[in-house]
Amino acid sequence: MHIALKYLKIILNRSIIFYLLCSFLIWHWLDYHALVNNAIPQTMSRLTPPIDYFDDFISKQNNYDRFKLMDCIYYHKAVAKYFPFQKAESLGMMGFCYERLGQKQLAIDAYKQSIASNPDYFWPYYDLGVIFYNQNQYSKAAEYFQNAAEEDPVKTIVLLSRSKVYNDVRLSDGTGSYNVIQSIKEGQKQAMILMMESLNKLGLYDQLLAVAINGIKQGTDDEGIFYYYAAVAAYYQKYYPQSLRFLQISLQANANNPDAYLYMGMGLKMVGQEGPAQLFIQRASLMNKQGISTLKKYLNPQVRFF
Amino acid sequence: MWIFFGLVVWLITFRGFLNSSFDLESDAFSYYDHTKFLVENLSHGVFPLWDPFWCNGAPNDFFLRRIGALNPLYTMMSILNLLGLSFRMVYLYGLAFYYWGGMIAFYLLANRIYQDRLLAYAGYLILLFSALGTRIFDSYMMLITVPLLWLFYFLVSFTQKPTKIAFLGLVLSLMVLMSTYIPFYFVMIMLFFGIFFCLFYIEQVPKIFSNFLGFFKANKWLVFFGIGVIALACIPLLSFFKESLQGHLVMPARHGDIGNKNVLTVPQHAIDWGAVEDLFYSGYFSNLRMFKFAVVYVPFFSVILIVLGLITRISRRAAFLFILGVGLFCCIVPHGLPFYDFLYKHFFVFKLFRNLHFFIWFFLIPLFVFWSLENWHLFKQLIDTSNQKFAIWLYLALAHLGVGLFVFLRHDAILSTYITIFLSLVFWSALLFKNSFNHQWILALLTLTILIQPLEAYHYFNLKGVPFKNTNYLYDFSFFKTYLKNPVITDDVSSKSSLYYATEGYNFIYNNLSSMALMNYLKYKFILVDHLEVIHRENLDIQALENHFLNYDNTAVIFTNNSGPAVTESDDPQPSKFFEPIQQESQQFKILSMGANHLTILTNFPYSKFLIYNDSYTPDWHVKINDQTQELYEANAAFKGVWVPAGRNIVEFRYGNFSQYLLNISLSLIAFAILMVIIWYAYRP
Repeated sequence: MHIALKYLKIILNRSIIFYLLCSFLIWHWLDYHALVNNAIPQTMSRLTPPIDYFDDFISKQNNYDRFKLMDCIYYHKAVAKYFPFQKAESLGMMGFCYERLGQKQLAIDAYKQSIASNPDYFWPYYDLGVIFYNQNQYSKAAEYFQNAAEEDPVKTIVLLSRSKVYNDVRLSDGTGSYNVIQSIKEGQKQAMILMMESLNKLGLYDQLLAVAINGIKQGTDDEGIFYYYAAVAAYYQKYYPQSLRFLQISLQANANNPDAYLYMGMGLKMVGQEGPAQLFIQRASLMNKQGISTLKKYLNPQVRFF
Repeated sequence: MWIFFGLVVWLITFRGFLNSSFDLESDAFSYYDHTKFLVENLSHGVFPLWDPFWCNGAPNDFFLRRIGALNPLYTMMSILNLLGLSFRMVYLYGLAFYYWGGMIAFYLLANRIYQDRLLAYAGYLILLFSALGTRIFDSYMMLITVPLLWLFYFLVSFTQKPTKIAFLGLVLSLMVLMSTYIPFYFVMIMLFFGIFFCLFYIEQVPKIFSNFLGFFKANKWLVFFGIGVIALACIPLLSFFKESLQGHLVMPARHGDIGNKNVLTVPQHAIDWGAVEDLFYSGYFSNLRMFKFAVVYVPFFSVILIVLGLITRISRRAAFLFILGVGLFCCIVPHGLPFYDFLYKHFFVFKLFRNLHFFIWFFLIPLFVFWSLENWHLFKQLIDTSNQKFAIWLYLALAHLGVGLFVFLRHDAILSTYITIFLSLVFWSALLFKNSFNHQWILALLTLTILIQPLEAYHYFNLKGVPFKNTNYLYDFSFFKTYLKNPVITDDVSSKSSLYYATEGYNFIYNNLSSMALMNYLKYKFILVDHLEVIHRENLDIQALENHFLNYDNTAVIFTNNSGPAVTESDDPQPSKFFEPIQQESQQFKILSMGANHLTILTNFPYSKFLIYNDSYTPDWHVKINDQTQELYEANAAFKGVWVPAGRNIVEFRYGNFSQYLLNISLSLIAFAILMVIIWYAYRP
């Protein structure tokens, strides 16, 4: 008993016991929620990146300032933590910043969390598709592009119009003129094109044809790109006449597609029209040398947050 | 030698800022400007009590108090400036060495208390490389922290052995601290220190007082002198405080519409940025890769010291330091803890704190480092007294492993944090098994252990340095009259955000007149009018005044006062419809001399004219014409105006009175002299 008391006294004398007792006493007085609820808005306000950061991200295609990106990550991490109603957009922004920093896996994680937080948000699907597309993982890319294409744009527009995160972005060009609706329209079109390209690379021509036809029916094909992919799918499925018809319409809509000329030449060859076929193939070759290509701008995608 | 090594490493670490490769940030701009204004004026033998460049002219008291104008640092800067060194260099290196001086005080304090130079050196390095040093370049924390550290050193020194030099050191530290615009931070800190000291060391208090009393009796004249200069050093502050009650000055951005008569007070729940916010904010940058200004940081070695001390027997000093820090912190948290509301309600000084987080930088960081040193001391005692070396080493290893694991689980630590943990284990093992290393190796190992993490952190910090832009700061002005040739409005009146600090009159017209009218009028520093409109202050018609300004009317508005009816017309038989702006010197108007506090003009008008000097009016301005005091009017609701007779006259505007200048200059010189005496004493043969 005596020894036990002696050891108890030794233990109670330790610094750690004193500090713990003091901490418990303070905890007793502390209203943690009042403390945090008052401190967080102030802290967030100071963490907010300067508004021109976003303009920089929008206007520059490359060579981002890594500190600006890291600042944005810190800020949006905090927003995602303390403001659940803005979690999806914040995680989306984090995904964008991580991707630009070259930290692809962190970007993928952030985008996936963003989707988990709000499945009705278009851009994370799109950006995941882009990341996987650029990593030549076409199967995953096609899956995410399909999800993006199937998203109801209205839901994303509602989400973004209520979001402070996006308001900051909108204001960052000084005029507040970023067009959310137009951006989503463009994004959806590009998602479908990249999905078709992914299916093309995967050799899934059945699906490619279905997607292309669907795009044509929706009336989104103002540049003949969907007709082009429909033609490609038809060609590989050996429906040469249909392929040539699609290509004809595609080239009527937009003559600056050397691949369309190439498939036209190949299709004509298959139906035995060697002479004209050669002319189309030569033209495709010339256009490629001249760097003319409508598809090019769609097939080198970058992640976007807006 | 190792002390200087620390300084050299620190200077190299921050060379980007010191050599002006990187620019100052945030509040440091303003402090640079105000210090420049003071130092350049002092170099010309002028103590600037008026600032003609701030909000169209304002008393300089607030800024003088903010930078602590009696600090001998500024006298030294003035001397170096006079010797031809560029102000920027003098300022940056001056502050760097001033900061280092504070670290020396910390070293001396730790050495005096613990009689352990290795421990004191560790404390010196930890504090030197804490984030406190970064604030030289974005804030002004060291202007309070450094004299506070010296005050504690001299206080401990005087308490241990009352000597004249320690007393003089106390006097100087108190002079500097009490003359700052918010000595209340310091007062609060000392109050908390005093209360907790009495609680923890009650049995020693009578003995300490008896020693003090003995010294006071033996050195009556010195004590009388010391108390006298401290009391005198409080006068500028008290007069500023009185001025802030009179309503001639306003601080709308700070004071808001709180209703309290004192413009220095702030609303209870309008604390801009508190201590908790500072820590929350710093938490986001805990991995140090994004280290930036205002992030609270102390080298990680101090955390290891605290962990090591956890198993030691609690000492009275450790408990005192801990309770002092925690107690103060709890009282400066406005939300979530009940103490602040109570103190705000019952203690006036709490109404004056806008930036409660300053306590962290002024006091809590040095206190934290000191507390970690106490843990070093306790653990060292354990090492020295225990025979169970292996058991202690086992604890050392486990403690370091635990800290390492904790850091690892946070996922984001920089590499040098792990190296610090490893080196710390090596260092403590070396101390445990003393024979393994000689003293110099121990010092080298300790230096590396402490510095490796801050050096990596400050590497990231420097990567974000904003390149220096050779901007003309607000106070980059030529000292004499050249600005007259290029009349400018020194404050942007086109934006209507609240003014930070201005005279009541200027704030009034700034807020009530359109920017166009104000800019139209204020582009002229001097105007001449022939007609005065005398009205009651309450009857001022803003619209009419605005029209006067927009139409260049040859009329000025003045307020009725107690000195009888004013002359309202000049003797010009054919006055113009418009006021006459003075845009350059001529036979009729010549600037004879100009300084912060005065303006002397030679006039030679054919007829009497009402001269308006468009610099803010306060009752502390006086005017003399040919050495005869004349009535100075508050013209056009905010500016200075005086009737100047026809013919050759010397008009002299002057701010303040002789006693104010005498007091400030004398106190600056006394502070400098005390410093010289202390330095002489420290280095005497």
